[in-house]
Amino acid sequence: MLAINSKATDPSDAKISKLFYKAPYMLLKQIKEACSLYADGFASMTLGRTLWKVVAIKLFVLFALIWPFLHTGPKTVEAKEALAVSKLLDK
Amino acid sequence: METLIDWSRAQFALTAMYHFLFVPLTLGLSFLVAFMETLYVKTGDEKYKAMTKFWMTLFGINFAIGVATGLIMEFEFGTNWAAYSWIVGDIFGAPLAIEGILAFFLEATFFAVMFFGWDRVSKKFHLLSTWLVAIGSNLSALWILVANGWMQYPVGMSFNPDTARNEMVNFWDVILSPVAVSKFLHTVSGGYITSSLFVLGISAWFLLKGKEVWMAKKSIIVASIFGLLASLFVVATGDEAAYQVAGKQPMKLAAMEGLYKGEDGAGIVMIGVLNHAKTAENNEEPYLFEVTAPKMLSLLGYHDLNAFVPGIKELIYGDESRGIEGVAAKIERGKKAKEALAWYKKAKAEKNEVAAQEALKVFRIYEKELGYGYVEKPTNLIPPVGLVFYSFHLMVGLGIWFIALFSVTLIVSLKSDITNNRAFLKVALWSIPLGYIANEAGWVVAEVGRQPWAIQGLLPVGVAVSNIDSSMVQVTFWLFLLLFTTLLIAEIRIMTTQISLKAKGESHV
Repeated sequence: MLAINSKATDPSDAKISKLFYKAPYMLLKQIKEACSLYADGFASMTLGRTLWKVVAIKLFVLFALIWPFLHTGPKTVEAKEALAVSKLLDK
Repeated sequence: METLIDWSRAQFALTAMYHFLFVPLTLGLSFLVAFMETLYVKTGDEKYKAMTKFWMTLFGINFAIGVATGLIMEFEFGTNWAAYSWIVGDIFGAPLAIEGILAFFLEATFFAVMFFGWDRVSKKFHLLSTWLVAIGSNLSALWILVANGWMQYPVGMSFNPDTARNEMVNFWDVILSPVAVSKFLHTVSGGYITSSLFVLGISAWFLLKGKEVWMAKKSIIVASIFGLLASLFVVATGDEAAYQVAGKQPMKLAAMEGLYKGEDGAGIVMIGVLNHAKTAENNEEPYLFEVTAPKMLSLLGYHDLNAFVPGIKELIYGDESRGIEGVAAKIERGKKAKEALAWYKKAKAEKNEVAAQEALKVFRIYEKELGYGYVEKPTNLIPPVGLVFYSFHLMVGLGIWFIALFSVTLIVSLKSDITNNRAFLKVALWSIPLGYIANEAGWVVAEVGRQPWAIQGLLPVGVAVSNIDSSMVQVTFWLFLLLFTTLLIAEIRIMTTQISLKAKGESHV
């Protein structure tokens, strides 16, 4: 373990222990800044809002409307294997 | 069954071709934007920043509209091509999974910094983010093209008869396959050309309108340098791609040139019209009209002016004097492999280990030609020659046009005032769609040229397809056509609106 107490005599040990305590706060600060980058970015979007609407509509159409039509193939691992074997053996 | 295969093929072709309307612009415009931002960071000139932001907006529109269109193809593997997914999923899935992870983490992380971080992070970190988005987009393409390269030239795997799957035995053989490498380089450089034409054409429109003249002129210089380099690079990568095709998919090369009878020192058709009455079985002339560059096909395919290029007839019926085996013998061996596989499965089901081992021995002798066991007659292995021939020649012709266009644009914009040449600007504007056409034509050559194989020599499409109702595939075909066409219209409308706003000097981000 790093020397994280007041008895640390070597100045570099003291520096490391300070960094050790500070690291979580620095990490939290970075995460907070990253979150605010996204939050402010989304809040100030103009054209981006339209684009996100397009993305949302597209995903809705794909997953809610078209996916049920697509989802007709074999679903289980056994069914998939059985299909492949039957095709390979021309059955 | 034919209806199901044809509709499944049509649906996959539709999805892939629409998806590839969005991809090339992402691949190239991301780099163009990164170059422009580098100019901004180097000079500190705010005009470069405005220029970067404008093209970045168009990049963002294309990215947002195009995102997830590729996902549909991955759905289709599981639904329409379930047998394919099972038989080769172990190999094909790995590059696709890496692509998903890379695309998500690299692009999503730095994409946000690129768009939201202008005043939040340092100039250099922002520039780094823009470059990482460009690199991330292109790395995504790498993995997709590795997967596609494997379909053209399957390596690094072994067939497991117990699971009926091809399993990856050498990851590096798959990703460093010469076909995958040349396909990646050729495809991305095609995307760079398309993006350069896009920037050049829109900049030409600004100059025709007399708007944003400084930005348009600078953009033209950046696009024509990038476009010219990419056009020259595409020649080199195209040469390598043709060399790989000659070695690994000779039937595709023969179809690309409409070459029915092989020749020593074969020429390339520069301009020609195919005789559609020509088949491998008759003696009709292959062309109604053709202008040929002598020996060039031998040079392109084998890097030897006098090399023999086999034609469709030799590849189908064989030519002993040339050491070319006909397809009939491969079909025979393929059938033996199929019978041995059936024997093995039966012995395993009956728990007869001795018989299973015997069957396995026979299977291993013939397994390389298993795919041929599903081919009914040799001529079924001839791809649609007309479609491949015309697509190939269209792509090559457009490639030559792009070199000329970018060269002239660069010279004119550096030596004189390009704004005075309105006819030339109109040509540049109308060249935008040509990049897309060349890309699509290239895909037609690559994919139609290897039919009827889903995996070259290993798995024909008839075995790869799912056993589903063809009417379901038809319904989704039309639904996808509607969805994609709507997305394309949305993309064009949103982009043209933003371009018009820029011309009016309005804010657009």
